[in-house]
Amino acid sequence: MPLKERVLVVEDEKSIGHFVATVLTSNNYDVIVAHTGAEALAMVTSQSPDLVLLDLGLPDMDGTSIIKTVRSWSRLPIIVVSARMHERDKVEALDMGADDYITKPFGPSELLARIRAAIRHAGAAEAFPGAAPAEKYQVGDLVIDYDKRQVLVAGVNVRLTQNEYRIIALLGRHAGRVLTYDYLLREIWGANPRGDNQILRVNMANIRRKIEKNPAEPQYIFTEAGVGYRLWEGD
Amino acid sequence: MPRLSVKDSLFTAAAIMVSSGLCGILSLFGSGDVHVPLVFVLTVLVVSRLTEGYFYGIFTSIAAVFGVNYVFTYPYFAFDFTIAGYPLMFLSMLAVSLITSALTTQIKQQEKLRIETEKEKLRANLLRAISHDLRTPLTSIAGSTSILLEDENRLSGEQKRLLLQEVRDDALWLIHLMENLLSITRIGGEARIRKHLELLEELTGAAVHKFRKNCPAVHLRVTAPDEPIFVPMDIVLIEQVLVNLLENAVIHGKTLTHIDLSIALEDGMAVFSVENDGEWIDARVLPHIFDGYGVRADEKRGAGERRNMGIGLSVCRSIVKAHGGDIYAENTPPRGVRFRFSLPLKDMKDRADDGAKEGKEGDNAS
Repeated sequence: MPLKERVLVVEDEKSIGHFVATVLTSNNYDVIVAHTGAEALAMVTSQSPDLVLLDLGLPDMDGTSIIKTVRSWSRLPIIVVSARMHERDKVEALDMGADDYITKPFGPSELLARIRAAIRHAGAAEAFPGAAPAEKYQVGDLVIDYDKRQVLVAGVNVRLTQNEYRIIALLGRHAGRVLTYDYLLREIWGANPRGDNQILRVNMANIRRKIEKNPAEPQYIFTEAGVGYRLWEGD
Repeated sequence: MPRLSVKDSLFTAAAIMVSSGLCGILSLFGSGDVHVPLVFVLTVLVVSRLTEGYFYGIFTSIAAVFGVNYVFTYPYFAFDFTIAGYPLMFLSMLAVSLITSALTTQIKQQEKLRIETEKEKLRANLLRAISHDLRTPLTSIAGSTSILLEDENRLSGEQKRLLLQEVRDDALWLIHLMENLLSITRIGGEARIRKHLELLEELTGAAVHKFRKNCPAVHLRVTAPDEPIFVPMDIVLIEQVLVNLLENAVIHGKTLTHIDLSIALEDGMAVFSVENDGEWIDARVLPHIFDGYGVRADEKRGAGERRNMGIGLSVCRSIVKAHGGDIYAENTPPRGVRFRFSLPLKDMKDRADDGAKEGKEGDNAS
């Protein structure tokens, strides 16, 4: 039997912590629970978990400072748990180095999918450090070919501009994870002194028109309101 | 306590100067100075209407009486209230301007008060609806879980499953309710909503994605303009409006087979339309559907109506109004219901009269 993956659940609400622990244990994860930020930091070092599920609203310290501390020495995947209305918290956490977020309330299947995706991404990066990254990303009818720098939809080559290609390639490399507006802007255009994301939006609108059947009901690129974009990773 | 502000002081000074100038010009043409008091009473009216509190109106009245006496009446450029007829004339001028000023200010304050009361009423209705909506599912959750804990061995697997299903449905409903309430706090108070330019397709994409997660079986068609269009909005709130309208259609449509979500541009507005082919809304409920207590009529029709959307729809209206738009509901022949709401394409700076217009929509859908 393969070694169980260990998830550190950082949650001050006992009932939610219990619910999450039950879901994860019954799905073959090894679960450890921390109720405070201090406890969490101690456990990250002593128990070496494979993933941290971090609730941002902790009693003793700001959740983002935990991300910062962990990120200063580890690539350990972190999924942030946050409330719906708090887009700024999410953006801040992602920019601080969190891998993904999940919005309360969430169901077991959504939670498990996010955890699987995050562990897989981390595993892929860790297993072959320095290895050539994947040559292709494929989901549904969409293929991103990194070698030839082209995107195919149902086998047909889609004509993208340089920047459009770079955006979708970036989303493809992080498929299933949300990339914030700021991150994308920085990666594609460098510094963004104007502080607005109009240029990214316009490029995104063009990409949608080229790869989606109905841009108003996208199948591949999802918008996370107020946070960023996420490329579909399959069901 | 006079509430003084630089803006109002400057405005008052300017008004007095303009009317003095006007009187000066008029007296070049005219015989006599009959127009002078009238011009100044008008000035008092304008100042009282457009400044804060009583102070500026009263100040202008007194300044006008002395100013007119000093400048425009014989002896010119000197005070003299003693000439025959003058005491009466200036006293009546003072009285007229003071009364004008006081009445104007009072009307203004009553209007403010009326809007406040209106808001208060909305809030009270909402609270009533909320506590009703909270009590029902909570009672059932507490009841079901107690039975499960106490009589575990006497219940069949099927019974347990049903009870748990209901507990989950009730909990989901409470979450839904809470998200709507949170939306209100986000609009609430005097703090304006934070609008950003958002792409319509990203809005529909996000809303549809969320809706699909909850109701995967419903056939939903989305149509939007071909070109990318930016609209100023708080996207999280407008997403909530769309999800509310879509879920509302599913919950109440009963015979519904599909929903159409379409967006068109009309007269500087983005007009959203959520249309289904489900059951009509009761004509008696329709005019009050956004009030947050349309609930009551439903309730009497039977226990099955528990999942009302009273709060959801009233939240929709509050959100749309706060964006400077409007929302309507109508039954469409031969069957089906259409909800339409609009958002201005340009950010309108003034929403001063938002509160005053509330409460008359719902029955005049275009």
